[in-house]
This record gives sequence, structure tokens and C-alpha cells, in this order.
Amino acid sequence: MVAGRTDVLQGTLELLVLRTLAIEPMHGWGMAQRIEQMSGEVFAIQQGTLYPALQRLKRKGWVRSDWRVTENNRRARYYSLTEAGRGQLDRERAAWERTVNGVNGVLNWAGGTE
Amino acid sequence: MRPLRGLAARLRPLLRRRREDAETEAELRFHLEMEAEKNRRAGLPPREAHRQAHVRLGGTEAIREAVRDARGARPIEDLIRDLGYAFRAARRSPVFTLAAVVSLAIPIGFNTTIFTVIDAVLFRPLPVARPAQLVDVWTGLPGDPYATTSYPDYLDLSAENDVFTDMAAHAPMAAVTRVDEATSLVFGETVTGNYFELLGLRPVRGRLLAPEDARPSAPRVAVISTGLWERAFGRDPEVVGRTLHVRALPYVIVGVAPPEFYGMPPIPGPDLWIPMTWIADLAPMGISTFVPSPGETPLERRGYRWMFVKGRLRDGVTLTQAAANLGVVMADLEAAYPQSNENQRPSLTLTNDVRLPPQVGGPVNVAAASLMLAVGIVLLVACANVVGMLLARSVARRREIAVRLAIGASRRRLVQQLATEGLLLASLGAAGGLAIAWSLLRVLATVESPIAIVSVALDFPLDGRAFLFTAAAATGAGLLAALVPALQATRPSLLRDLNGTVPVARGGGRRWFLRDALVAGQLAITVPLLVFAGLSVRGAVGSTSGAALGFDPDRVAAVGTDLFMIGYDAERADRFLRDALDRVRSMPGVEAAALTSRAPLDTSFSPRTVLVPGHHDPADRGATIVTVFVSPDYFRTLGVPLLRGRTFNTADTPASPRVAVVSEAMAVRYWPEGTALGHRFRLTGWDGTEIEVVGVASDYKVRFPTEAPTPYLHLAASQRPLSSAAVLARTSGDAATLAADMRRELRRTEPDLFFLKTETLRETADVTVLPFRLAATVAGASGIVAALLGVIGLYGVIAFLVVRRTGEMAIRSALGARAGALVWHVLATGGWLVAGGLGSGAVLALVVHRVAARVAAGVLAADAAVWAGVLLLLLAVCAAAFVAPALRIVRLDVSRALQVD
Repeated sequence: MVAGRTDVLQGTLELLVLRTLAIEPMHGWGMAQRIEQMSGEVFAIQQGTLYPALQRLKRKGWVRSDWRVTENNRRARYYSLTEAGRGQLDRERAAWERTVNGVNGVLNWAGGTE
Repeated sequence: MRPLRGLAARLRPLLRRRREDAETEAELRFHLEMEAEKNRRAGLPPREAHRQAHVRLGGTEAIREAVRDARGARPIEDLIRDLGYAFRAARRSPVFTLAAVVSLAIPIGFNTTIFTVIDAVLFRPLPVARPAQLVDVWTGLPGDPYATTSYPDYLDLSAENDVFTDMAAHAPMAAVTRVDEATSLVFGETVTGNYFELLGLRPVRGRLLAPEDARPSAPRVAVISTGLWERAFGRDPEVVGRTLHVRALPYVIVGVAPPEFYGMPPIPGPDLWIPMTWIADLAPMGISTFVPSPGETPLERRGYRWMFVKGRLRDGVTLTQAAANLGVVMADLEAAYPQSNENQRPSLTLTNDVRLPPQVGGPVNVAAASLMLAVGIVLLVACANVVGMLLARSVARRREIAVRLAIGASRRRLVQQLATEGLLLASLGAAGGLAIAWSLLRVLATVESPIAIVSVALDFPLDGRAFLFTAAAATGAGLLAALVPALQATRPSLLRDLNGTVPVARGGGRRWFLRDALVAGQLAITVPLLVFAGLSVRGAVGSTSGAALGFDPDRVAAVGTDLFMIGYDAERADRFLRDALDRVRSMPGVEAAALTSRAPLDTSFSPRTVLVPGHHDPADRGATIVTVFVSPDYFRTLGVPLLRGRTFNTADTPASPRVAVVSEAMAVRYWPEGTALGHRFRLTGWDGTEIEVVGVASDYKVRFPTEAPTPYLHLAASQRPLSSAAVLARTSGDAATLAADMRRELRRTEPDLFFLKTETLRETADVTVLPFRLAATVAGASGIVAALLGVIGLYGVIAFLVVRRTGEMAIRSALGARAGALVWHVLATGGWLVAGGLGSGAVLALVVHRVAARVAAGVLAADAAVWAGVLLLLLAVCAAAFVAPALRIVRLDVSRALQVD
């Protein structure tokens, strides 16, 4: 539960957030729901880590935030992707796919040993 | 530009801090509401829905901190927030704050004061260019290596060495100086022409001395200090070109030395610099030795060693290399001038590191170290006390701390915050300490110098180094005082603290053990401080009693004068002094009077080389013995018994055989069997004729009250004219009055007479042990402050003990125990603390005493009364700490007390 602890998904959390925000601007709770839903309930993200991650992305200039009113007439802080954020998402996505392909290549390798 | 923008980016969030914190807060609240709503829709009861939302999100405090972390600008932000907390906490408990600040301010003030004085004397970099390159060059015999040098040797060393860029020499002088109509005794130096160039100084007016000024044909010129410029010339901007008269001869002022230049070690505070060319008109003073050698003036005689020599190392040359090189040069000189330079060896010390001649420096360094240690200990005691206070308070804040830990604040953050509180207290303490140091130094500046003839200002300004020292001491003290309790307080033990119950019996174990140890430690430290102070005072007083000195210092007045200083020749001076003696002898109340070239315990002395047949070959160097010329009644005036033979009489004239009265120590050393009477010896540096021992005087203290019996040689003043002497007179009345009357009487026939000394021998004796009295005063004051702090700490522990045991007491009392028994119970518990503290303190004091006795033999009295007195005093003061808490028990209201828990 301690925030800031580097867990395995630390790197991927930012990727997931960027990807989620690419769909539409969202508030923090909404993002948590969406990520769980989109990952087929595989990721039960540590909700507490979301907010520091958003703050980091904001400082890097990849997301911006503003206060809006939700459909239930509540004030919530919405986050949206900036242009730089879109570029970053593409770069991270490419990097992720390279990683996945590489790891898969290793896992699925069928060659013999010498 | 870029770093600026980076800074702005880091500072901007800082300015928006409050708003952003509020936004994060609102955001998290929104999150929790949404999650709870979702849980309710899934069918959970409202309370459970809310609880699970919190579990999913995690500790909000921790998230807020992580968000702040992610935002950047964290350390500054934290510091500002912590300072805010700290100020609020300080305002909330003003009494606690005041107590802690004062506890720190007093020892910090002491520390800064002592540091400033010691730093000024020993450590502050010398106010010259590249001070690390300056080297003191001493020449001397194997037994006395750090001695002064002759001018011919200086010239040869300077010309023949390969290790120095240049060498200069200087010697102290005191001269009657007239500016317009005002006459005063000015302390100065006679220097080689390159002295200021070697030091690399810049004048504030005119110019400094140059080598041309030291040419024989050059006009008489002088450089004055900024101090003299202020005192004698009122900072006259046109001072360059004005004239001052030194010993009635005119010197034109060419410049003013910079204000920060306070002279070069080992000679502090000169006000006047005159080229060595005029040495014959100046008569320098100080340490000098003399062996016969050709030449008319001190500048020509190789055997007359009177100058301090300094050199500036060439780049890359080490002290060892320089010493080796000068060793070769001195060996050449020994071969060329065997009579004056036999066994003369060079010794080199770094001027910046060795501020005092090594023979004086040792004891001064020890004294400085012990002073610093004493005041450092007091600061530690104060820290211990503030630790105790903060510990006590952190108990009261345990619940607040536990709550913050529970909602996810990291331990590091809490410790940081508590440390900030400690540093705030320390900063306030440092401010108070500086104020105290400033006032102490002001007081010191008004103290009159004990050396009455020369005004040496004890004016030590607080400078940047002192501020730095204070800041370091305060930071250290603050961190020490805050961190121990902070680490203790944040040690997680949630259950107990959230419950709000702290185990009562046995005081909760470990935590109280730490505080008990602190109090016992404080008490322990006070014992050696007070014992040392007591023993030093008793020792200083004891060592100056008549019995310890070997002569009776009470009721003896001494008036010293130097007639060369006012232009007398030897014959006229001698006539004046003999006439003066006759006149003093006939003054009312005078029982005995005598002339002496040196009064006992004077700081100056002239050692001479003695050759005793059977002990020294004629080719030998002989032995160095302090020598004095006295008139017949000298021994009677001082009250020194003659053990054998006779004193001088009117039959001892310049024409009659030379005679001497030796001290018992000298007689025992050279003529151990039978009597010394009738034996003969020679003295180098007089006229070389044999001298016969006609009397043996009882030993008395010659140089210092605590010295071992010292050979001392008395020669007849009637066999050699005196030019500089003291008139000693024993009175049946008050010696100080007599001294003043003697001055008036002597001035009657010579209005220009200048007095080097006017005092009673009691004053002389007291001044010699002044450093020990000062050390004792500081140690005593430190000890008293430490004792007060220790007792306050003790009171705190006892009072807390009583409060925490109130319930237990009440029950006991309700069960029929008498108040007396309860008081006894508290006394016993606290008694262990006191006994432990004072007991280990006594052991500590014994160790300190052992060490100190070796360093300052004879000054510390071995005095059981001091030990008993200190321990009784401390016991009594400790007992006071029990009174109020004990009274509280006696007046305990049982029913009220039982409601506490």
C-alpha cells in the first residue's frame, strides 16, 4: 500500500494511463475502472499509485488536467492527453511491442541446442 | 538563463502549494465517494462500502505525500511546512521553548566566547599574504633549540640558503614615544627593511618600510599601526610626513599598517615599526643570549642573539627540506665562527601553525584545549537536557505521532519534522548565544591588562569564523537534541499508543532508562568541572603564599625603571639609582630596601653561562643560570634567609675580587660535599675574572611559583653599574601605598623618569598564576552552569516520576501507607540516580585530576576539602530537586488522583 514503491508494473502503469486517456479525457476513478475493464480484469491496479503517476505525467507535459462537472453533476478533475503525450504514447507503444516480440521470440524459440 | 527557468519551474509549484494540496484532497475525496457508491450499488451496506473504498485506494496521507513528491520542489516545500509546524509548536508551549532555548543559549555563548579568544590567539590565519609559506627560523643549543638569532647569522642564513625566497628579522622594543606634547610608552618592533615585503602587506596610508629605509645613510623613518594612528593622531589623513619622537630622536612617519595586521607571532600588538639601522637608539628587549664576539653594535656581534627570523618558502619546498638546507648553512657558520656558533643548530616551525615559541606554546595549547573541552562538555550537558525535555514532550505527543504514522506518513518525514523543531530551538539558542558571547567579549575588552606598562588590548571581535563556529555548534546541538527523541517517538508501537495507555509500573522500561542515564551523566560531568575549578583556585592561592614562594611577597613594593630610555649614560644611571635607594630607605615605614636588576617572578630574565671548575672544562659551553645583580639588603628585604656565609657589603667594589651569593639549589648541584663557600667559578659574558662564592641563600621561586628549586646566581650590584633596575622596599604599612609614594619620590629629582613596573610583589605573584585562575574561573562557571542544568534535568525526572506514579501512590495511600513512606520511596528511586551520577563523576574527576596534575604540576592542590565540598554542594542542590515533587505527594488528594486513569 505504500505509494512510490517500484513494483513491476510501474513502467506499464504510465503506458496504460496514456492509452486510456487517448480514448477520451477522464477522471482518476474513471481511469481505474477503465483500465481494469479493458485489461479483462487482469490488472487490479493499486488505485493509490494512479495519482502520483498522473502528477509525474503532468510534470513531463504529457497530460493536462482541468476541473469539470461529471454527468452526475459533481466536480471532478479530468485529465486529457497533450500533443506531446500522444507522441509519447506512440513511442512507448512501439517500444512495448518490440519488447513483447523479443520476449515472445525467446519463449517460443524452437531451435535445438548445440 | 536555463538554470533560472529550471528554478522558476521548481518554485512555481511551491507557490501554488496550498491550492494543489487542496485539489489533491478534493480529487481523492471524489475518488472515495465514487468507489463507495459503486460498492453500495453492488449491495454492500453503506459503512462497509465506505471501508472497502478506503482499502482499495490506500492511505490518503501517503498518497498525498507521493503526489507532492511527484510534483517536485519537495525538500523546500517540506522545510517550509515543517518550519511552520515548528513555529506553531514553539508558540503553543512558550515555557518549554524558553527553557530549551536558554539551556542552549548559555553554553553556546560560552563556547563562542572561548572559541573566539582561542581562535584569535592560536588559529586564525595570519593576516599576511600566503601565510602557509611563512616559516619561523630559530637557532639554539641542543638543550634550548627554539632561541633567537644574531644579525650576522641572519645575514648569512639569508644569503646562503636555497629554500627561501626571502628572509626577514624582527625584535620587540618598548620605547618612550612623544607625539607633539603627549608622551607614552609604545610597544613596537625593530625590523629588517624587507619585513613588510616578506609578509606581503598593503598600507592604509602612505607606504610600508622598504629595504632602502634600512641603509645606513637613510633618514629616520617609521611605520605606525592603525591603532596608534587612531590613538595618537586622531586618524589624521595627513599623518604621512608627520614626526614622532622615540627616545627623544625624531622619526618621520611614512605609512600606516593595515588594521587587521596585529603583528607577527610571537609578538602581538606592536604599534610602531622602525628599521633595524637605528638599533643602537632603540634597545630592544625580549629573549636574548650573549657570548663574547667581535663588533661594536648588536648588528655586528655574532654572539648576541636577539632576533626572531622568518623566511618565506619557495614554491614546492617542504619544511623538512628547508630545515636540512639551513642545517648545512649553520654547520658552515659553526666551522667559521667556533667561538660564537658552537653547537648552534637551526629549528624551523611553520609560523601559521606554531603561534608561540614552543617553550611557551605547550602549556598555552594545553590550557586552550582544556578550556574548549570544559565548555564543550557544558554544551553536551545542555544537549542532554534538551533531549530530556523533548523526550518528555514527545511522550505527550505520542498519540498525535501514532495517528500520523497510521494514516501513512513515513517515519522519515516525521523524523525530519521533529528534527526541524530541534533546529529551530537551536537557531534561537544560537542567536541568544551570540548575544551572550558578544557581551562577554565586551566585558573582556574592558578588563585591564595585567601587564601594567604596556596596554595590550584584549579586544576580540566576533568575526565570520565565530559565526560559523556558532552555527556549527548550534546545528550539532539541535540535531543531537532532536534526533534522539524523534527516533524514539516514531518507533512504531501503534497499539499501545492509540490506546492511550502507557504501562505505569516500572516507568515503561527502556525509554525511561535513557532519560535516567542522561540525568546521571549530567550530574557526573559537573563533578570534575567543579573539582578542577576548586583545586586550581586553591592551588593558585597556595602556590603564591610566602611559604611556597620562599620569600615573603606581602608588604614589599617594587618600582622598576630604565634610565637608558631617557638618555642617561651608564655612570649617571648608576648614580641616580644609588641615590634613589638611599631616598627610599629613609621614607617613613620602610624597614628595608634594595636594588635589583630583576625582581623575583618577573617575566624577563637574563640567563648567563657559568663555568664551574671540576664540572665544566674551560672549552665547555658551561651551564645556563639565571643571574641577578643585587644590593646588600636584597635578601633581608625579600625575607630570604641566608643559610651560610655573608651577603654583599660596602667592601665589595668594582676594584675588589668578584663575589657571589648562590641559591641552595646551585650550591647542591656544583658543590654537593661540604660547603660552597670559598669555591670559585667563571661567568662568560662578564669580564671573565673568577668569582668567589661568599654566601648561600635559601631557595626561592625565581621564574614561576610552581617551579622546582632552581639554581639562581646573585652578583653584587656594587661591582657593576646598573642602568635598569627595580627598587624593592619592605614596609610596615601598606605596600601599594608605598609603591605610589616611591614613584612620587623618584620623580621628584627626575620628572622624565619612566616606570617599567610599579606594583607589590603580592600582585606580581598573583599575576603569574593568572592563567590558572582564569582557567579555574571558566571551569567553575561551566561547572555551575552544568550543575544547574543537571539539577533541572533531575527535577524533571523526579517530577515526571511522581506524576506517573500518582495512581500507584494514591492506591498505596488509600491502603494505609503513610505519606512519609511514599516520599521515601521517591527519594530512594531518585537517590539511585544521584548516587550513580555523583559516584561516576567522582571517578571521572579522579582521572581528570591525574592527567591535569601531570600537565600542570604543582598548581592543582591535593585537597580533600575541595572534593568533599564539591560533592556536598552537589548533594544539597540535588536534594532541592526532590522538595517540590515530594510535597506534592504529601498533599496528594487520593480520590482525585485515582480518577486520572
